[in-house]
Amino acid sequence: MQRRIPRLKQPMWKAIVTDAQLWAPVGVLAAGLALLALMR
Amino acid sequence: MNGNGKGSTLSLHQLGVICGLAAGAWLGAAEAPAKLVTLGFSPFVISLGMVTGVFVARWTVPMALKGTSYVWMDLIEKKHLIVWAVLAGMLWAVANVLTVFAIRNVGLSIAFPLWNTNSLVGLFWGWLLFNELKGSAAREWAKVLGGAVAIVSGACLLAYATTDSSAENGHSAALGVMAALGAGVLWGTMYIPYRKAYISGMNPLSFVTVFTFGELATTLVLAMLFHGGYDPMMEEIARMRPSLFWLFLGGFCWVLGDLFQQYAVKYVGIGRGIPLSNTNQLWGLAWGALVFGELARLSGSAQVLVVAGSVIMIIGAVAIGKAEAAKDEKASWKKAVERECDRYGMDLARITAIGEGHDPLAGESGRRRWWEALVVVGAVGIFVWLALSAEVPAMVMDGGWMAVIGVASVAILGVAAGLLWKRTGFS
Repeated sequence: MQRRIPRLKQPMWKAIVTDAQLWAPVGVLAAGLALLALMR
Repeated sequence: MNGNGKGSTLSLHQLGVICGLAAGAWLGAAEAPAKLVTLGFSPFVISLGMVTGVFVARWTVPMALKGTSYVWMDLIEKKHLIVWAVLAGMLWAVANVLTVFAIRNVGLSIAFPLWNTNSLVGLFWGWLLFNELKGSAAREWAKVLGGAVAIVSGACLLAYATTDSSAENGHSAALGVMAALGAGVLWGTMYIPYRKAYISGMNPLSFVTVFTFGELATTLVLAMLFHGGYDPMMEEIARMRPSLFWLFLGGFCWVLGDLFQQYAVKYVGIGRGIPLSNTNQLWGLAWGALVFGELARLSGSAQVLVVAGSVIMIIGAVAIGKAEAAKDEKASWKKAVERECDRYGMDLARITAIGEGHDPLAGESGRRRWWEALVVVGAVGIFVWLALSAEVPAMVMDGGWMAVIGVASVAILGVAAGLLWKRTGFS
């Protein structure tokens, strides 16, 4: 298969941190850690 | 040399369903070796022992199947997913520790149904973020949602019927309920990175090699935190040495089950794949009841509940197995793929081909390395070394049933892996 590599519209790090989908698991992880702290 | 559809007329939906069911068998089988661990160890250290076994297997199985060049190139090509894989491993580890508190505070019969809602949480995220079920008819909705609810309900009945109610009261019980619900939300949310990786064309075998770093590092830190530091933790691990083989073996079975779960998520999505792999409760029950005789002490009514729960779970799995995504839903899936390609600069045609079970990277990744065989030998050596000092506790086990379930599990593994290879070349 012939490869066509499209250009990134912004730097990779920016594409990652501005991806709204990232913040759902990050938020849930933070809540989970807070809950663990409560258990301790 | 790979399948890529040659010689197989299996649809990707059928393949995903088979992978989901195989995941259930091997995630359930993972519970069996853990039963041989002598009681009296900290659950955090037990968890760490199992995750270390998982780490060894997670590096070895992908390398044996695809080779290091392939995995490396896959990771480099989609490097934005590395952070997602680590995040998923961390979510798994935190949820796993929460279940320890949940069981301690409210007992398994209450805790298990609460965290088993993870499939419903996953279904919600799949719908919201990846357009799963969008554009599908009410009938498909009913099959998937009804099937997922049936599997959760069946699991609740099994948990209720097979565990003692030794719940504590008051404040600690409330915390236990919160911990169980929290574990369900964390495990359900963990499927966001899974699905994100697979609609971006990452191979599940590459994903798990990074996932395991987040998983092991978080489990290690949490074990030290809850165990008073490094030295006390290591002392307990040394004390646990005769049981480590069983934990590693459980971890190995778990890796096989989890790999099938990953392929199920890739080919049928979160909403369908996760409820199917949650049938592991049925297999765990089969090992417990038939091999370890755990149901012998149950009353007649509890045994009726066990049968009812199992039948409900099977009906749920059949309903989901028949809910193949229609054309309109697949068009919605494609929009989710387009979003990823647009955002992260990936070739849509290539990613679409990978999603359809092709493996363009297989022809680009070069030949296998000789030292890959050494790593496999090293991993097997670790298992053999631990097996030499393993102690089998004095437990009554039914050898006949062990053979029957073991052979059935291996047969399912062979069939599912064979079909996966034939249809996609483990893409």
